[in-house]
Amino acid sequence: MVDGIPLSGGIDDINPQDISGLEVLKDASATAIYGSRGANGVVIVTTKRGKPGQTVVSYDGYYGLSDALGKIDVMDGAQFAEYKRESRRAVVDAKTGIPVYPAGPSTPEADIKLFTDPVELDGILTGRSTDYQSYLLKQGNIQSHQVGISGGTEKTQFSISGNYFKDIGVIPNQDFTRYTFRINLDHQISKRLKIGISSLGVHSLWNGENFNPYGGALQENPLGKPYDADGKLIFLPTQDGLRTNPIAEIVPGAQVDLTKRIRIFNSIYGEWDIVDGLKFRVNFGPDFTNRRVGRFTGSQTNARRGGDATGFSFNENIFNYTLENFLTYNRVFGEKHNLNVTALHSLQKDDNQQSSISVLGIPSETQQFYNLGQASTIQGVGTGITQWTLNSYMGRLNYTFNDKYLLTLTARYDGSSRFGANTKYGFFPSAAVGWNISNEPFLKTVPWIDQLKLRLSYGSTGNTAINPYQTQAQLGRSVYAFGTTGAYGFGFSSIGNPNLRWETTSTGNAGVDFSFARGRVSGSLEYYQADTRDLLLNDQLPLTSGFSSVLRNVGRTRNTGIEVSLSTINVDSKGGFRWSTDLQWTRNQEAIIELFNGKVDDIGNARFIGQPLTAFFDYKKLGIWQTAEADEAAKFFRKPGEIKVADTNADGKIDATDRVIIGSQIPEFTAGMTNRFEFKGFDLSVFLYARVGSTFRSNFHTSFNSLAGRYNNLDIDYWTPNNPTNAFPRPNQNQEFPVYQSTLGYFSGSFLKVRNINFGYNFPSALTERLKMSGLRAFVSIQQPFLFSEFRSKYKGIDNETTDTISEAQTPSVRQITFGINAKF
Amino acid sequence: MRKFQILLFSAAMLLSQSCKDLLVETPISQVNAAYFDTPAGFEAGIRAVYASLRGYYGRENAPTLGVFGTDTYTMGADGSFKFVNQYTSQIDGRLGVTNEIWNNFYQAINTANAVIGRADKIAGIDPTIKKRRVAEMKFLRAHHYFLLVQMFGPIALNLEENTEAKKEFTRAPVKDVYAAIIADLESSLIDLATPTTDYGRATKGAAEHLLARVYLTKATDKDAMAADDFVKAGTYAQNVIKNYSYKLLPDFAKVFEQGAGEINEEVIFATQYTADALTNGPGNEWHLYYGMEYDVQPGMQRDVFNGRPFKRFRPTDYLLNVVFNPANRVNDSRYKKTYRDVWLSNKPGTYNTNFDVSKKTVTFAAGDTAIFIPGVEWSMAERAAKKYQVLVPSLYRAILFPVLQKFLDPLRPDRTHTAGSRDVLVFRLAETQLIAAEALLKQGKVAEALPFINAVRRRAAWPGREAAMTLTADQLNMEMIYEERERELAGETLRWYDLKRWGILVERVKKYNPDAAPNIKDFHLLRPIPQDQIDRTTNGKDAFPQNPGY
Repeated sequence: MVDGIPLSGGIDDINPQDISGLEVLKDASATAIYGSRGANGVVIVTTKRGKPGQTVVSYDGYYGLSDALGKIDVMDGAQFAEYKRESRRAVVDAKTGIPVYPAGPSTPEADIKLFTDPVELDGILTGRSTDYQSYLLKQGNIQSHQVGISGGTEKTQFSISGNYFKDIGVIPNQDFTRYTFRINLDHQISKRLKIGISSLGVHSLWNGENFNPYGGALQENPLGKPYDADGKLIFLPTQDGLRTNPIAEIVPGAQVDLTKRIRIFNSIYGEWDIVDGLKFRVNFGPDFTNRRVGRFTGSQTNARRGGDATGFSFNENIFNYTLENFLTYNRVFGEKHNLNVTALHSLQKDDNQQSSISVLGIPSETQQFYNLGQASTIQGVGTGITQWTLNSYMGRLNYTFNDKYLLTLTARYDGSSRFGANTKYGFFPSAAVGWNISNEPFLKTVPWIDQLKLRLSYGSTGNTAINPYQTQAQLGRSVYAFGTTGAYGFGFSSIGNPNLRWETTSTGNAGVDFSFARGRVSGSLEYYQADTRDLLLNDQLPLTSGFSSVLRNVGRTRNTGIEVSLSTINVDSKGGFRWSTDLQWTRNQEAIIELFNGKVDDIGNARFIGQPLTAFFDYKKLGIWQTAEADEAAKFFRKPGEIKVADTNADGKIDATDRVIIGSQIPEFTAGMTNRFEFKGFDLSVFLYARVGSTFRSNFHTSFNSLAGRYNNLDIDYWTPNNPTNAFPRPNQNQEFPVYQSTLGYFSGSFLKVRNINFGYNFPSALTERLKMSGLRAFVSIQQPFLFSEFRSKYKGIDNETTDTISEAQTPSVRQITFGINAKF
Repeated sequence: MRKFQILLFSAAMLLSQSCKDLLVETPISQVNAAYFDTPAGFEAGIRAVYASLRGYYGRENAPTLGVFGTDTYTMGADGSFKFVNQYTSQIDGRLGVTNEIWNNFYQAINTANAVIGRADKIAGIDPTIKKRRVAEMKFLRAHHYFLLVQMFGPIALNLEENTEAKKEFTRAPVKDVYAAIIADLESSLIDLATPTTDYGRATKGAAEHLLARVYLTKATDKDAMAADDFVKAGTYAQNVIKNYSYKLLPDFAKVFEQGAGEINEEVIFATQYTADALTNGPGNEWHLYYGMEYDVQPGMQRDVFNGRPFKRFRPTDYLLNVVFNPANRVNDSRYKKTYRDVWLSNKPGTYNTNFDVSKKTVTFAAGDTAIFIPGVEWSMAERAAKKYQVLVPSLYRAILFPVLQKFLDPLRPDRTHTAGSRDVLVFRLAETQLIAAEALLKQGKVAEALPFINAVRRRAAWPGREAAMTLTADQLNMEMIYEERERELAGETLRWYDLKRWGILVERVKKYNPDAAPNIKDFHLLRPIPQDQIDRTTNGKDAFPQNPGY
């Protein structure tokens, strides 16, 4: 929520320097005012507003450099040659009965037969090893400049800021540019009437959001030659017709992938103090977004390989508004009873219209995707509209007695257009009680207790985060032709579920907030249990039904967790040295209680009673079949060097019934620690973050371990008759990927990161006053300087901070060093 | 003051818009299932079922299952599905190509069921057209079930529209599936059109051809066979030959001409593709799969004419030496017309030779012959005398082999383009003739069978060689049918089903396909049921068991 209006589509649009306050609400009672949009918690962002008095001018800026945190370890030329030989040693010619490449050490004669591509052979003889990654990596940089002016009179306040931000990545053609302009105005019309507006204009440009050339470089044969003697790019560095030069992808104009977005996000309010204690407020938030995705793929690229250039343009126009009316009554009775009653009506509507066109045969490559109408073939055009509405009513009562006992009761009635005709509305009550123990007389005398508060809450929230129109059976368009006459048709694409209703989560929270020894030790302890019922999940259907899945309200889950946060001031010396530490520790456990058919596992959807929703279900890799196990392997139709998976039901064969739960995305715990040191204007902070005990899947590791002796591979420990490893199977020319390849893709999600280190200096006021400034700070910070994980150190991975699946399109992790100043005049 | 209060009130008044209509959801750019109850929706549903043909004819799945792992084709250098050829244990319920077909066909069957079931209630359609359209749907439904039952054996048999998210399914006996197929086809004969103005729609001739194929297949399936199956197969095939205007083209090569020539008198039913990208969908991609690696050879680079060689399917020695016996090629034109043997240089220059080491270098001007496949062995001296590389049988390997040219698509807009515009000829008269011959031979009526097979053979003869191609009664036996079908239909994705029908799949693969020989077992006569189907069905493998062996 930004200034009272829900912001969809990413926090990216908000410039951090515009933020004056940030609050996180988690329990059901606290988020009740935001309804279903707060089903997973609420982050409330307040932007800076002007203050009466002198006009303040500020400048904040930084500049930094980014470097790849190392390259990805793929095979070099000699390793590749040996890997290719091994992939042929594994293949026995069916006619002659001898291996395609003779067993034993390599020989020049056998090499000549195998490496028929003269470039490859020359590469072996001359020891060539082309490091394509080095051609695709460069130093990136990041910069931000912001100018702000704020001030005002008693009646009217303003705050205006403009920002320029640019982040240029370590791979060519990947960058992000953002221009923002913000204006906040508040005006007191009369004693009882006030109006105001926050308006944010954002213009963002992404290059390379959908296109990543890095994978091509990782798979490219290192024996190949990227440039000829004249320094001209060779489009096919080897004879492999599929493997074009990865460097060709970054030639200017070869690949264009530019997303442009303009957004105007507004929050307008009016407040009327009708009588003392009774207040009416209206919030109106119109939000306009226009997004254009443009893609151009030139002829000299891997996607086109000399074919005609293609282009694509996608336009999206979104208008979303929120309208909220609040009526609040606030009164204190008999000095000790504080009562606050709020009634709210909230309406949110969203209208999303899209259009797209894709073409083949752009006449001149310089046209990119800017004149698609001139292309020789229109391959597709489309438009569409999607609309949804949320309508809610809420009543809330807050009662406080003597600042000691607190009670909040909330009732919400939420309606969503996305549900069935008779199930659109849901009722979501919640209650919270608080006890400020430290305000009790018996604790007031204990000097070391500053604050001690007990909180209990219980409430339910609804979730409507599904795509619109799923209550109705939809048809999908098909294309056919009779002769040369087009024959467009419509066939079933989805089966509607007219009974879709709210997914409801009932959460119980118990928490303690404390502060001891004049703030030296403070923090909170929180326990929660969240029971979700009627989960909105895709139920995978047998295809004989004619459909692949249906969205349903399925079963129940339970999440229980503990959250601990602790802040300590370890040293606060008279000499001005101060050291403080913030610690956070979170543990969440998720379990499915019930599914569609009751307490029965649902193998088709990989959902299991007692397990998290995100369980991975697959064969279990035991290792690699070894030479001595050849007979045993044969019983399972496998050969030495292939992946050995567990026959979990010991029935003497490997089939679907041998799949087991490999792990889940839910970690044992996550933890964070920030240490801050301050001394005479200098400050230093270090933030560490760790996650322990989750499992995730890496498609990167399946894509770049094809082990077929054709594409380059991660430099892994693969099996050969002389290297009886259990890590990876033997390369084999006759398979495009190893049998049971998916078992190579599961990894531990555990890691420890130093997220950032910040070092700053606040110049003394004596100096700033002489410079006619009201404040000056300089700082240097390092983002992600260290990253420790087995995934990275042992398995050649990049960064395993992901919740489910790592896609195959990866770029190296980046370390950033930035320098900046904050100045106020 | 007052005016601001009015402003605030008017904002609050927005509340008063009707809360009842506020949440009504109306899809605007999407179409929902009620459309099927309108005349336009009825026709649209029918066209969608036709479109499902493109999920098979033109995709990699059809040749992967119909060409691989037979006596005539084995694997080339590339591709993800070599194990289908090798019959390794990687063929299991996760096999992509079978899953694709299963999903596509069952989706189409449900749409066909909806159209057939709703037809009665739709007003405003000419009754003749309505009946004909329903008959077309029955034809396509039968076509899909026929392929499914051959691949998977007992399968789910749905003949009614599924209106809810159903999970209870069982496998109907093969006999019942055949009964449904035949009921659909025989009832469709009443209403289907004979000639059709909408080229590409199912016709009566197509239904009779399919019936002939169905009876011929059912006749050999121990779970469904009936005594008169061969008789019916023969009758339906002869109906197609005699009752319509289909003709064998005089020149075998013309059958596979692209462009205007695609629509010819021999074609009974074709899956339609077009040069218009908007209605061509994924296009016919079969041009990709049968090529060899000409494009890295001296003097050559990839171009539109010669195609993108994916090197998936490579002819076996049996196909090249026995089916297309070099000694018969003076009479039979089909080896020459089926396989491309010359590549003309499109990258002039002087190069070191690659596979043909009878000389050190070769020099080409544009248009010179760069590669020639004589189809028989030549001596080193004979090869050395040529200015181009000669690819002789002893040099054939996974990347170099004779290239099936039936599906090559030189009319693609550029050399990278995969969406070809060629129709896939699903049924053509030459096959009908061979079905008739086979059905009659199986009944012991050799003399009656002879004219049908001879019609195909005489058409295939080089001019003046018709007599040499004409068989006599003593020459016609099943072995001749085994070979003749492949001479005529090589690569047309029918071989695996033919071998299965004849009961000789395992025996022949062991004998003629060395890559597949070590692994093939009897259970491979059925493909594995998609694991998703089993997992997602209520009661899983108890309700919907996997085929034995997988």
